[in-house]
Amino acid sequence: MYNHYDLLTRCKNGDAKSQRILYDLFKAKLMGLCRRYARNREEAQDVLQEAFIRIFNNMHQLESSEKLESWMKSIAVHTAINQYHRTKRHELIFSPSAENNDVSTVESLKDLQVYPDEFLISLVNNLPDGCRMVFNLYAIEGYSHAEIAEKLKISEGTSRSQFHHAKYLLKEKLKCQDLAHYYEKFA
Amino acid sequence: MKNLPDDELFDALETRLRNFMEEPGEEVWNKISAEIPRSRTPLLMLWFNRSAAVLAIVTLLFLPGIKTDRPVPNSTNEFTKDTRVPSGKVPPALVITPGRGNRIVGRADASVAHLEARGNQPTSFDVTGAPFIPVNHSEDTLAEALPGTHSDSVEVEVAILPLPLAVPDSIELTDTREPGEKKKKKRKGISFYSLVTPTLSYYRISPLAEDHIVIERLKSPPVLSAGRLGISIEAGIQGKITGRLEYLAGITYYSQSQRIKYEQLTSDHVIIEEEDGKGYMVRPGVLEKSFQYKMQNIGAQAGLMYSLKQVGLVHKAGILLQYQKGFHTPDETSGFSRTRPDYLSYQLLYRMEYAVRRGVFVQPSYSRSFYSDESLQAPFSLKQSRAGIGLGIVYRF
Repeated sequence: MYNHYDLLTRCKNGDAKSQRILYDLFKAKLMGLCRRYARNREEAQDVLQEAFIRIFNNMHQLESSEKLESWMKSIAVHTAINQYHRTKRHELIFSPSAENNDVSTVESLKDLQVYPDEFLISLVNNLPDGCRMVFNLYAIEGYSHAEIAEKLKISEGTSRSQFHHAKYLLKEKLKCQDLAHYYEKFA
Repeated sequence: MKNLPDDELFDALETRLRNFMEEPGEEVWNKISAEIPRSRTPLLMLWFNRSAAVLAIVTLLFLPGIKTDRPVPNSTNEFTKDTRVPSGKVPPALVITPGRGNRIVGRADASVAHLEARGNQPTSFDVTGAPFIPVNHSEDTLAEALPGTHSDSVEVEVAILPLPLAVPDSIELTDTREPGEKKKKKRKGISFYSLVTPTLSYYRISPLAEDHIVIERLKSPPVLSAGRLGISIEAGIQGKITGRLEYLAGITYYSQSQRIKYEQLTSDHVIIEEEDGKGYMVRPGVLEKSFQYKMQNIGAQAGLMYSLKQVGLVHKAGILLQYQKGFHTPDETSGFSRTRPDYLSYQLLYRMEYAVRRGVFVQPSYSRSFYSDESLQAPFSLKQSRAGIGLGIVYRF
């Protein structure tokens, strides 16, 4: 058994076995992260691959093994952002109107347990690229809109509106799915 | 309070998404492991290990007592004990005649074993004293199977094996491969590349001492001039030696046609100047000459590249050794008085490429000739330097 310190040291020395152990330890977590940022599984695997190559190539920059996981996640996020910049489509940024923000909540939406993870991920994957990035960075990673604006090279206002639009789209999709679920159940 | 259910919904969604995990495909690791730095065996050690392996194989094949280099016909055999002859005992004579596919039929003198053949059927027997192993292996030895038999000779089907000097008590040789299944070849990471480089040429001239001609100056065109233009085309293969080090080898073609002008001093006409009434200064005249420096060179090159950056846009630096031979026809305009000159040069290169299967790359390079045996129709020799920025493609197999 390795602890993180030993593992980090061995990986820094280029030990192939330790590199594989590190990969096995974090591959599922980082793949989950990449799935949220990418459009599909294939793109997520590309991001994961590039992220791990960066991780192994820059491992000497990491001094403390306690920060290993957060450092790896940070690299994966930045790799996903780079991928976004490389492949982003020219989207028409949709500014949700006031009534869009005021969608009434369907009571049964509160219970997300009925939906499998894969379905929730597909909801995020199908968001427009900008909305997906902002939603992940703001809601999941906890970055501020100012930080997101800097990373994505957009204005803070755009970041806010993208986030609200992402929430609106997610809610709409969940609502449609929920109604379908309701009709299936009682038809 | 109206937004509270929304907040709960998104909190739950965010939690689910934050904790989402998924297994990537195994091919992801294969790609990662091909790109990341590894602790490497020193090259000398690698060479030594490979040499040792080759030496071991050669030694095995040519061990004394081995009559053939054919492979083991059936790889599932059991070595029961060292079957070499104890000192003082004479091994039976063995006449080997190749036959029956990959088996060898041997005729052994059975004066020691007192054996008798049963028709032409291959038989298993104890091979004590003989440096071979029977193909058809059975529990009983032939001597036990044929007790009390006496004969001068027996024809047996045997496989000749290179016996090691010290054989352990029992070694199981088991081949788990299906019949006809070939061992999968590991991908070597070989790539094909092709490169076109427009170049600008520069020259260093060395006047010939024995011709007593003084070169006044070389009339060079500007540093960036179409008059210096040439084109180089390269194609070849490249592959990894270690994590960052790559070899590349290929063929090269270079073409140029440039006019080189120079001035030489001549005594055919002189310039006479009066010096303050004290006398006259006689200066030799200057004669302007030129010739067309044409090159149509074909050659080979090989070298090494080292990856400075391996992620995203890959940066590599390298050095190549080039050998080229001129194939232009010498005439009045070519500037050469000798056919097919040879050139040796080195090239320093810097390559920037995307690490994708079919990629393009940009390669600034500088070449310098350090040997040439060309003979010009001019009173000097030339050493050429070339600089250019090439555009190439790379295809990874």
